[in-house]
Amino acid sequence: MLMILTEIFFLGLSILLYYLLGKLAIPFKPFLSLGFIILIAIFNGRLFRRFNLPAITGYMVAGLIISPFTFGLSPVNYIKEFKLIDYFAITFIGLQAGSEMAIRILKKDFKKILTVTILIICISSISTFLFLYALNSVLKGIIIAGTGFIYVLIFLAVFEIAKSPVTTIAIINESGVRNKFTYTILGITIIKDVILVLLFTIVTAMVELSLAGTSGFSMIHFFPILMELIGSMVIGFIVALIFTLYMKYIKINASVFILIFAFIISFIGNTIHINPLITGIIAGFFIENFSEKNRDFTRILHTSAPYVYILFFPLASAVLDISVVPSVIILVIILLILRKIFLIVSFRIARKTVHIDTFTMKYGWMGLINQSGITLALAILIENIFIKYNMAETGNYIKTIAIASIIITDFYGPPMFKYAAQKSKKFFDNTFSK
Amino acid sequence: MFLAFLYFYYFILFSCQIRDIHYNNNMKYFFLIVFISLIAVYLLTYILMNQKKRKRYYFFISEVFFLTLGYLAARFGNIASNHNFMNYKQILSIMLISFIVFIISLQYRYKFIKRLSKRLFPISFTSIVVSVLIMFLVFGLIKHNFSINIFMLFVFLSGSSFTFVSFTKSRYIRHIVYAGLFSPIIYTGIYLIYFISSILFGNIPFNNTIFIFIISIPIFTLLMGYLTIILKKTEWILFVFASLLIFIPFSTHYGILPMFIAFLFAIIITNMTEKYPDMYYNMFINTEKPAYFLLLLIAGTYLRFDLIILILFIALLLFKVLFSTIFFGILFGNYRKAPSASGISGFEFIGFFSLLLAGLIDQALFTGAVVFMLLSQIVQSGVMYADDIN
Repeated sequence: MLMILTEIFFLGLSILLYYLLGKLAIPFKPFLSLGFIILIAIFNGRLFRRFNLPAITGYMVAGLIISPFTFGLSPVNYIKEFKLIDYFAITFIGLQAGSEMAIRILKKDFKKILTVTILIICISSISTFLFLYALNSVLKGIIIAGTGFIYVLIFLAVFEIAKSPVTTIAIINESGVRNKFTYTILGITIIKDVILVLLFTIVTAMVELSLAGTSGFSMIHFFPILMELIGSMVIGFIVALIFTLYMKYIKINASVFILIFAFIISFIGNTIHINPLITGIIAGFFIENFSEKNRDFTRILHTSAPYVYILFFPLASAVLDISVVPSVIILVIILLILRKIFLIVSFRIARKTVHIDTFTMKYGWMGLINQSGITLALAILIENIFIKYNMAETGNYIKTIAIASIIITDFYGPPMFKYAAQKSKKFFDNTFSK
Repeated sequence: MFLAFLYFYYFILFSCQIRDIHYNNNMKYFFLIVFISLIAVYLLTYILMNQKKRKRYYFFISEVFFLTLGYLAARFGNIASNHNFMNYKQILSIMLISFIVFIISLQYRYKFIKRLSKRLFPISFTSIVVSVLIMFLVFGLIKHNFSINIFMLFVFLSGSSFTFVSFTKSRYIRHIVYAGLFSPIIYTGIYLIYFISSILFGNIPFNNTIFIFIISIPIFTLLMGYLTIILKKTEWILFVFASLLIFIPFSTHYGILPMFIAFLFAIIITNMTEKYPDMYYNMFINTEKPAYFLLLLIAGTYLRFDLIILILFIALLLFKVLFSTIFFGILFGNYRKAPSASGISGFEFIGFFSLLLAGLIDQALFTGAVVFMLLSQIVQSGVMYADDIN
């Protein structure tokens, strides 16, 4: 109890000091803000852990505390100053995700995982689309009004399959549970993410064609997407090769090298349009499976992770405009309920078809709730597309729903997955520990 | 891992602050050069560190390499004209140095200090006070600016021996390093006198805010000490980092050297807790060289060659060699027995201070300081070589 009070005291003190000192006119204020963001995240993370909640949820709540959209502690431009951290974190998470994909482990259940993932994607997206379409028709556009409603429905259906691998990996690392259950969830998440990127690109291209009124449809429209995908994979392979050679021959300060290199890759990736997540996953995958230095690599990523998380999660949630939540709350609640139902249905069908275990059937949905990470990026892309075709309102509406959905799922998704992971310890051995 | 964290954060902060990163093609060249340098320096490390003979030149070559790289990056990348970059470069350098100072100063544990010979202090004190008086007079005649004088003084007095510590087990070098053990305390004293006199003479405006800020330093440090006990290792490192991020903008604003705040933080924390002695040691060993190289890379962007300043600094170097000869003559004349293994590595971080401070004042002055430092190291390499032969 004393420790909890101490942590509350330090958290309160940090917030108060930030509030008071942030008003003073001093140079280099973004650094001051970053210092306070780290302090608040540390104490909030500790406090959440005391209540057996994930520390990353604490970091995200810390992000909301300092957000310009809640108490206005950090101005928007200060948060944007550190946007490159996002790019780096995505590459880093990709590396982590790839390094978790050991063929020796995955090959046992790969078919099962792939089938479950495809089931979830088909059931969730198609059913959501049909349900919302029906609902909207019955209620005469009361939920989704306007001419662009069909586009809204399409993108909401696509978002239903979005799941953040970032939080999944963070929770697995934090809880230390590495068993069949957590690996199945991680596998589903990663495959879903890759399919989401592909599906989103295809859907976006088709929507753009429709908005532009182009009648002809050609494979040439998919050429840039294909190039991005192949480019990301090739660069991922090169990165894996460089890391392996480095760890084998030079060795000195390997962690420094890997982190800086990952950062440069994410920076370059952002400018030449390669997907940092896929690059990271491919690099991590090759090192894990084809390099003799895979253990060193995993250790470096594992020990670096807390430093990255404590900075990434508060900054990621600080940019979310919480004020938009009330305006779309009903629709978001409907979407979340649908998400849960369709996930449960998918796992039950998977039980019958590919014979997944009972525990995963019962608790698997808990690991696939939260949407942060890629969803926001996709929502921003969608908004830009609609702005281009003078339908800014529709784009903004989709983005608002996405943000509200991220905010809500981010705060109950990770604790639920942690709960399920902890519970799975009774049913599965921690055999996948490295 | 700590090292990775430090490198990563500074690199990322450094990059984040260049806001026109996507629009300025020159910045791409800068990043490209940094990227190539990263590969090159590790190859250099591989080549030089795998042979004992070459190992001796590793440090010096690396220093020149990083400085040149920074210089070239600045010229080709044209970042010198980028106002934001120039501003943030300063604060990042200050932060980097403050962090290094913090880590190094963690070694100031009372139980180690008390094991050192008491004879070292008066020798160290006398030599520094004498040199301070002489050089203050000399610089006072050359440049009529008190701030520049005191920084030039630091440049002159600085040693670079600590950078050699982990490379050599040389007994002679260790003596030199131990002799410099009290230097930071003495420099702190000098700085405090300078700071108080600046307030008295009105160079630094004294008001309620600065008073609160000064009072908050020890209070905050005590809190840090307490938190050291309850926080996890990762959290503690992040906490220190965050504290420095908070205090440095303020100290820069109020004209207080941030390094002394870091020094104070470290002394109080290290004496308040016994929790992480091994961690401190590892931090020190791991941070020393890479952080220094990173600093040199940033420092390289400041370089501006100015013949008069270079001549002045070379003259200073010769004077220092002469002065050091007398000083160590006195020292080893009186000091026959090597200090017992105290557990303290040597450190002379004033060298870092001076480089940075000179950089903040004048680019040409800074270039001179860098050349001075490199020449000093050639002299020290000679000492090492002589010691090896003996």
